[in-house]
Amino acid sequence: MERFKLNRRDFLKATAVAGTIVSVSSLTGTTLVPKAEAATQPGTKIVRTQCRNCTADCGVLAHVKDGRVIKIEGDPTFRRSEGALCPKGLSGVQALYHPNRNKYPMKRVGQRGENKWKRISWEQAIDEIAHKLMEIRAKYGAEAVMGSTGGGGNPNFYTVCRFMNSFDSPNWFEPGAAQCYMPRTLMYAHTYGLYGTLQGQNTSLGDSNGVEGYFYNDLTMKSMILWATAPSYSGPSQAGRMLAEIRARGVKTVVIDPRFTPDAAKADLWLPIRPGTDVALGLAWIRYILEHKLYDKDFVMKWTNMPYLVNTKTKYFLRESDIKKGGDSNTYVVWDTKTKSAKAMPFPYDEQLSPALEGSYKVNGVVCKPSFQLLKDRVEPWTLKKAGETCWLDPKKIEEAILIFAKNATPSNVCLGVATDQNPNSTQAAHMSAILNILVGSVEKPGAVLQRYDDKGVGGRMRSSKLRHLLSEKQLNKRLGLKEHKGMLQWWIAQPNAILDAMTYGKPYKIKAWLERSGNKLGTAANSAAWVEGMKNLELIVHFFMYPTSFTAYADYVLPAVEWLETDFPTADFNAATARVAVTHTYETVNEYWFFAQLAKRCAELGHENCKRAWDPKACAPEPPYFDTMEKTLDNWVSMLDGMTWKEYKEKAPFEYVPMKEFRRFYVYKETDPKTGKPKGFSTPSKKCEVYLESMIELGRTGKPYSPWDLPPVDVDYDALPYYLEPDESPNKAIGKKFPLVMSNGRLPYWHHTTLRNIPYLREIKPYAEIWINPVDAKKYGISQGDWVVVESARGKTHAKALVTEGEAIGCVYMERFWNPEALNTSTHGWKEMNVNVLSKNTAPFNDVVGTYTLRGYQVKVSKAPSAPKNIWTKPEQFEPWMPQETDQTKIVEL
Amino acid sequence: MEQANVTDIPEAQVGMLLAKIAAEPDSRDILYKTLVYCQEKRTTSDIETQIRSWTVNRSILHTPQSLMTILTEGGGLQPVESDEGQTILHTTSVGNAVVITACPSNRLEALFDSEPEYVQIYLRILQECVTPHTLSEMEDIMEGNETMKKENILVSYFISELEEAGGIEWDIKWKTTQTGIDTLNMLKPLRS
Amino acid sequence: MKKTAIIVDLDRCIGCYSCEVACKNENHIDLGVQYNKVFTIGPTGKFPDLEMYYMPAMCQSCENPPCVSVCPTGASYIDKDGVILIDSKKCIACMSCISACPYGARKYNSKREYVEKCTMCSHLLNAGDKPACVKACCSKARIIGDVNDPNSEVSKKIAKAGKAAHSLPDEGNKPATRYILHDKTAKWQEKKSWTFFDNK
Repeated sequence: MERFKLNRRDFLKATAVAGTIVSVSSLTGTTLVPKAEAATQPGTKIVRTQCRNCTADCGVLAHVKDGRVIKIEGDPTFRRSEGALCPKGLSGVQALYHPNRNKYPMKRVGQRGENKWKRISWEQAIDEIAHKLMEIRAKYGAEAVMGSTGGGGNPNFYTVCRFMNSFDSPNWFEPGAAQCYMPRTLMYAHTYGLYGTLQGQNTSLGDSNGVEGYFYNDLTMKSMILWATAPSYSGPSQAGRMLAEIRARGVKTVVIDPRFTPDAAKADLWLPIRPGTDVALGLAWIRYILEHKLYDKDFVMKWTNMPYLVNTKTKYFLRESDIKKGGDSNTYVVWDTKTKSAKAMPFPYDEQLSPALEGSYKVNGVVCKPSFQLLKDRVEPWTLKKAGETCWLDPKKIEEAILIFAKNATPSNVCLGVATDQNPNSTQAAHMSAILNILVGSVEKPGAVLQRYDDKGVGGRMRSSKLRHLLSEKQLNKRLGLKEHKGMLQWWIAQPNAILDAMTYGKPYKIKAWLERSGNKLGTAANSAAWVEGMKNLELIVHFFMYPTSFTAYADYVLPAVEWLETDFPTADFNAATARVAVTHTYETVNEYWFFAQLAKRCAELGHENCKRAWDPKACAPEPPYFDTMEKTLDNWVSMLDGMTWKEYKEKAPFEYVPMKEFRRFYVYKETDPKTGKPKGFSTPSKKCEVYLESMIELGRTGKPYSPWDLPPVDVDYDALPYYLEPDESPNKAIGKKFPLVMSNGRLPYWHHTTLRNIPYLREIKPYAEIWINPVDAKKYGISQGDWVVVESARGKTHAKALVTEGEAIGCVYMERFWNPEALNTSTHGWKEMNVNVLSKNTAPFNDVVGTYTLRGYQVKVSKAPSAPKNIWTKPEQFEPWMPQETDQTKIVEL
Repeated sequence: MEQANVTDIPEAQVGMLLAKIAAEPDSRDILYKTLVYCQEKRTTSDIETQIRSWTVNRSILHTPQSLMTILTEGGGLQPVESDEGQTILHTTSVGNAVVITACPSNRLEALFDSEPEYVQIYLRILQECVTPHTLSEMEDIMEGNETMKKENILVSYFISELEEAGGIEWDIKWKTTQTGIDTLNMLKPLRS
Repeated sequence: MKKTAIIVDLDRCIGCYSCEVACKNENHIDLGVQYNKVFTIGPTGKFPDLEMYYMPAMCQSCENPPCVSVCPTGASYIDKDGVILIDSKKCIACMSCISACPYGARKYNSKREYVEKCTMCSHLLNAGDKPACVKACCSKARIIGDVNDPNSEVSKKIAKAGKAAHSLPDEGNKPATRYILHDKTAKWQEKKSWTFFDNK
C-alpha cells in the first residue's frame, strides 16, 4: 500500500460535505417552510436536517447564512416530532459554536492532568496512534487495545466495534449496553423474535418503538403501562409528545417509577416502586393474570410455546423425536387432554388436539410439565401482598394497575424503559415485560407495540456494520466478561467491569490502550474513581469528542469530532427515509467513521493483516469494507435503496421507501410463508412467541445463536424463566443500616447522559445536580429545601442540592448524572463535585446473562454539607464565557 | 560520581520523582535509564541521541526533550553550568536515590516476593527470552502451564510484569535484560 | 380590536422547557432573563396521593395593560394585532412599567438600556409564521390567536374549556392569556398575586 498521505484537499473531500442546500420537498406538502423563509434575513438558506442530541433524530430546519447556522427550529414534516424540538435539540447552535470545541488533533506535552497540549496534524495523529497500537499488539496482544463508545446510542453505533474486529481485539464497551437497552433487545429477540426491523422489535419508547401511539388519530390501544420509563423527561418531542396526544384522546396510563414524573402526574395510576424490585412486581402481575385467566387464551394456546411440554429433568422441551422413533426434532409435544397422552403438535397448530396448559405428566418415566405450568410455579409465591411488601406498594393499587392492563382498558402494552436495565435483575425484567405483552396477546395486532412493520431495517442498517467475522475465534474467547455473560454476544460487546478489572489488576491480561469516542466516561460508568485508578496503567488513551470532558484530562491525544449540525447520516421516520445533512463544517473536526477507517488503514499499511482485510470487499462480504471518504461510505449505506447515492438520497429525502399500508401491517405471523406454505410464525426456535426460554439455556452452554463457534459453558445455566433478585445493596440487608436510602437515577429534559452541561441556555435552567428527597426523609436526616447535601455510598461521596419533594418515594432518593465543565482544569477535572456515579456500584453480583452492574438500586446516606462544592458555577451570568463564538477564519495555534 | 546515602534524601522527594515516572506508563523504563545515563554529566544533545537509540523501535508519546523536562521538574535531573553554552544535565541526589531504590534487581526481587506463586513462571520466561522471542512464540511455549490455565492468566500479564521490573525488554522481540540474566543465575538452584 | 394571546393547555404541558429555550434562542435573550418561564406547580398533597402541573408564564397580553398606560414616552404600545410591544428607541428606562406589570413580565436590560419583554415573536407573526415557543412545544400545548374573534381556534378552545380555562390574578388589567387545566390533571392553584419574574 502507498505511504499514507492526507493533504487538505483529501481531508475536505473525506469529511462532511459542507453547506449543501437541500431542496424543500416534503411528504405532506406543507407550505410552512416558504413562510419561515420570509421571516428570515435575506441570503438565508433553510436546510432540512436532523438533531442528534439523543437517539430520537427529530427533524430540524437549520437557517444558514454565509455558512453560519443562525437559527434552528423543528421540522414540521418529520412525523415523529411534528415540528417539536426539545431543549436538547434547541441547544444545537450553542453546541456547534461552543468556544471550547475541540478544533484540531492535539497531543499531550505535559503530564496527564496538566492540560498542556500541542496541536498536530491528522496525519501525525493517526500515524502515531497506529504505530502505538501496532506496538502494543506485538508486545501484549491485540486484546490489550480496548475501545469504547456511548453518547446514548451514538447513531453510527458499531463504529468502534467494527474497528476492534478489524484490529482483532475482542474488547470494546459502552456504559450502556448491558446497562442500557441490550437486556431488552436480547430478551425480546428471544421471546418475540428478531426481524431486521427497527421499529417495533421491543417496547422501548425511547428507541423508535410505540409507533401505534404516533398514529393517534387511528388509535386502538386503550391503555399503556409506562414501566421504568419517563418519556416526558427523556424524549419530550417524540415519545413524550406521543403520550400527550394519546392521553388527550382518553388512553389510560399507568406509571411505575419511584419519581413523580410529568408522566406520573398525568397518569391514571402511579406506582412509586422501590428501585430494583421491578421483577418482583412483574411476577405478581403474571401470577394475577394467570390466576384470574386474564390472558388471551387463543393466542397463548396457538401462538406461544406455553402448551409445549418441558422435561423437568433436562429443562429442555420434549420433541417428537423424544416420544416417537424417527420423530421430528423440530416438532414440539403437548399433553393432549382428550387422549390423555403426549402428542406431537405440528406447526402451527392441530385443532384435533386439546393441549393442557397446566399439570404435571409422566412421559417415558420423566416428569414433564407444559411450560405454562412452569411459569405458574415460578410466580406462585408472588401474591399481591408479597409484591406490596417487597416493592413498597399498596397491593390494591397493584391490582388496579393489572386490571387496567389486562381487563379494563385493553388492548394495552407494557412499555419498559431503561431503569430496569440498570441493575443486575435487568434481563429478567425485560423477560417478564415480554411475557406480560405475550400473555395478553399484544403482539402484531392494531394497537400493539410489538410489530413487524416493513421498515426493512432502514433506520438501523444504513450505518457501520460490525464486521464480526473478522474477529478470530481465539480472540473472541479472550473477550473480557464473555464466558460468564454470553448475552453480550448479541451486541458483540465486552463487559465494562471485566475491562476495568483487567485495566486495574492486569488479569487475565493487561489493557494498554483505550480508544474512546464519546463524552465523559467518568460521569457514566459506575464507580468513577475506580476507572481513574485503572487508567493510570494505560500507555495510550485517545479521546475523540466534540469538546473536552473530565475524561480528556487523562488522555494522551484529543481528536476533534463533528457536531450533529456538521454530520451527514441516513435515518428513518416510520416508512420514510430521512436525512441528517451537514449544514456547515468547523475547524478540522471529522466524522468518527472516517477516523476509525483511516486508523485501520494505517494499521494495515504497518502490516496488520486483519486491518488489510477490512478494506477488502471480498474479505468483508457480505458486509461492506471500509471506504476512504464519508461520501463513499454514505453512498454504500444508502445503496440498499435501489442503488441510490448519498447525493441522490439527501436530495430526495424525505421519501417513502415503502407505502404506509405496506409498512404498517399487522398479524405478519399469520401470513403464509411461500417457502413452507405454512404461516410465517415468529423467528424463534419454535416459531412461536417464547415465554419459557430453552434458548437461554443453550446460549449459556454454547454461545449460540450468536457465536459462530461453540464457547465454553457458563458455570450455572441461565434460567429459562424470569426470577427476582433482591438488590445486593438493599435496605433489608445489613448495609441498609449505614446507608438507609435507595438511590435511583433518571432523565431530565435538558440533558442527554453527560452531554450539554456546557450549554449556557440549558445550564442556567438547572446549573447543578439535584437530589430528590421526600420530606419525611429530609426531616429525618436534617435536610432543608435547597441545602447542599453530601451523598455517600460504599464507593465514595459527592454533593447534590436538595429538592425536598413529595414526588419522591419515601426511603428512596434520586439524582441524575452530572459533571462540571467549569471545573475541568481544576484538580477534580469536574467529575467529583456532584457526580452520582462516584457512588454507583461496579462490583458483583452482576446480571447473569449480560453482566449488568448497578447504576440504580443501591444504598446511600445523606447529610447536610457544610458548604457548596468549590469551583462550580451556579449563577446564569457565570456561563457567559460559553456563549457561542462564531468564527470565519480558523487561527493556527503555535506552541 | 558522588553517591549520597539514600537514607539522607527526603522520602517525599523520592516519592514524588517515582510518581512522576510512574505517571508515564509508556516511558517508565526510558525515564529510569535516563537517570542512570545522567549520573555522568551529559549534554542535552547527547541525552537526546541516547534516548533515540533506546526508542528506535518503540513508540513513545514524549519527545526526548519532554522526557528531560519531566525528570527535571520531578527533581531527578538538574541543569549544570557549562563553559561552551550547551545545556548540561546531571542526575541529582534524589535522582540517584531513585536509581538505587528502583533498580531492576530490587524491582524483580519485589515482584517475586509479592507473587511467590508465579515465580516459576517468571523464571521460565526469563530463561526463554535470553533468546529473543515474540509474544506469539511465548504463548506457544507457555501453552501447557497448569497455573496459568487454572487461574486463567495469559502470558502477556507475566511478560508485562517482568518488563516493568526491568527483567525483560522489548526490541522488536522480548529479550531478557542483563539484570534478568543475573537474576536467573542467582536463582538457578531454586528453579524446578 | 384584535387581541393576540397565547393559550396554554396545561393538561398537555409536560414541563419540557422547550418554550423557554426556544424563546431565548429566537430573541437572543441574555443569560438570567426569560420572556417565558416554566414553573412547576406542586407536587401538592402527601406522598403518594399527589398532583402536579407545569405552568409556563409570559406576558399575559392584558386587554388593559398597565405597562402601556404608565409609559410616559409611548415606548410601550399595543400593535395592530393587540400584541404589547416596546419601541426600544423611545424607552427612557424610567422603570414605571416594570412595577406596573402585576406579573413582573418585563425586565430592564442594563447592557442595552431598555426594557424588554415577550413580543409574541411579532416579527414571525408579521411574516405569517408562529412564535418560536408555539412551534417548539413538544406536547402541542400552546396555540396563539385572536381572543376577540369568536371563530378563532383560541376562542373556541377557551369556550370549550369552560371552567377549566383559568387566568392569572386580574387587578383590572384583564389578562387575555388562558391556561386550560381540568381537575383530572390537577386543581388550579389560585393565588392572590403572581410575580413570576425576578426583577431585582
